Amino acid sequence: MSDREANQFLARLDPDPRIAEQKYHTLRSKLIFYFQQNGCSDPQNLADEVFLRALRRSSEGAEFYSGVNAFCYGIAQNVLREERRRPRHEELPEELPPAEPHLGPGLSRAEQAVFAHEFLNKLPPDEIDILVRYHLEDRAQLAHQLNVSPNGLRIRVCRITQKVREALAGGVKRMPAGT
Amino acid sequence: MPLTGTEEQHLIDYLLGQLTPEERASVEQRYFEDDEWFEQTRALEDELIRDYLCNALPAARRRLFEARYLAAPELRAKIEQTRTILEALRAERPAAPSPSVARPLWQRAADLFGLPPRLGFATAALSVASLAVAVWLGGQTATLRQNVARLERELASQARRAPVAASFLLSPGVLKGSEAAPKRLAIPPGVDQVRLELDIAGARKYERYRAYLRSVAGLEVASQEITPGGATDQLVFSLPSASLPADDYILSLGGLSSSGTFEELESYSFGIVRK
Repeated sequence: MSDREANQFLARLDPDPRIAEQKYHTLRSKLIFYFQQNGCSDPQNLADEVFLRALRRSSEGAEFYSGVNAFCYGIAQNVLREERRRPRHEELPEELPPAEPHLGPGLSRAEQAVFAHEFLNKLPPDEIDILVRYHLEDRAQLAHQLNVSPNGLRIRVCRITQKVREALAGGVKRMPAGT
Repeated sequence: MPLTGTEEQHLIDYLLGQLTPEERASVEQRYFEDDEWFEQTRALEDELIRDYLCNALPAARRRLFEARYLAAPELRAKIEQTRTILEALRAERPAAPSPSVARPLWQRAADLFGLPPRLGFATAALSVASLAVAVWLGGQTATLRQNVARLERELASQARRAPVAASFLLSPGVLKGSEAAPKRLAIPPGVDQVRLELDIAGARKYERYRAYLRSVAGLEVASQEITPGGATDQLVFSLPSASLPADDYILSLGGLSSSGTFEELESYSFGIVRK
């Protein structure tokens, strides 16, 4: 696929390239979430497969009558069906594995904690304060103090947490090989 | 757009795998088309994970959560990532400053006991001695706590090494329509592993078998290749208890020929009941 074809596909998401990029990231998050919720072992890879097929169809001139998101959801359903039919190479363990922390290959608990601490410190103080109070204190009281509904607080915390998750994932990617 | 109570429950049911395939598809279609709905779903998932880690989920919901989130590596990874964030947040929680830190110890001691300032030194000395004893006791307590924590870790480790298993014997047969309920397997709390012993007395014998376990709704739960152990008419299909929420299941067994082809042999239907 050429850059021109990729740009054409992004333009279907939005004519403004910056907004198109945001929409692409949101759609990718939805695809990953969808595959996670359906028990797939490599959701990132499957999300990329959906984009590859959508890009191919886009370059063939296919019309996305119901919108790109709905079109990609249809492809994702097909990819999921294929994934379920594929023979599995991994067997279930004989015993339940111990609950080891998992963030990325080769990261110890201490390293994970360092990353999390580092990225939390990059957040504005008011966001850290909300996270701390939401997770470790009474969240109904916090919602009352901030004058927001419990649902509004949940969304706000989710947005902040998402930043931390993305930062953690970025931190893992930045780890040099062999460390 | 705030969620109604029904919508919230519906999304939680989606996250806990309690919806029919049609209902699941409806939720998924909506979050693909509606960014706000997607954000609500993700926020609810965050809250479920947080409540699970803080032991704030009701027992029934906790069981459903574990059955789904501990059985899937990708969902389990989310729990571990949240655990890391929670631990980092605990470290971030600022300690409350003491308002009397700026005053000398002897003055604070005199204030505390309502004594004139000249007796404050003696009181302060007594306080220092008391503090030293308290520090020593504190050290002893810390050592004791460390020992208790070590013992708890050892116990947890031993518990992991010896998982509790429940075994059930299954005879072949799938009940159709509304004939009757399938065989019910009651799994008591605390069971880690479920061993399904498959009766293959009447089936053709193979060197290797493959078994597929699906819910009656058609969702694949697990599959395993099984090599029979000795001259027995039973095969053992073992899987984590957490991956079997209360539902009806069909297990399909096939033989693997030397040429690698799969020949379907038997099907076993059963229902899981959680005590």
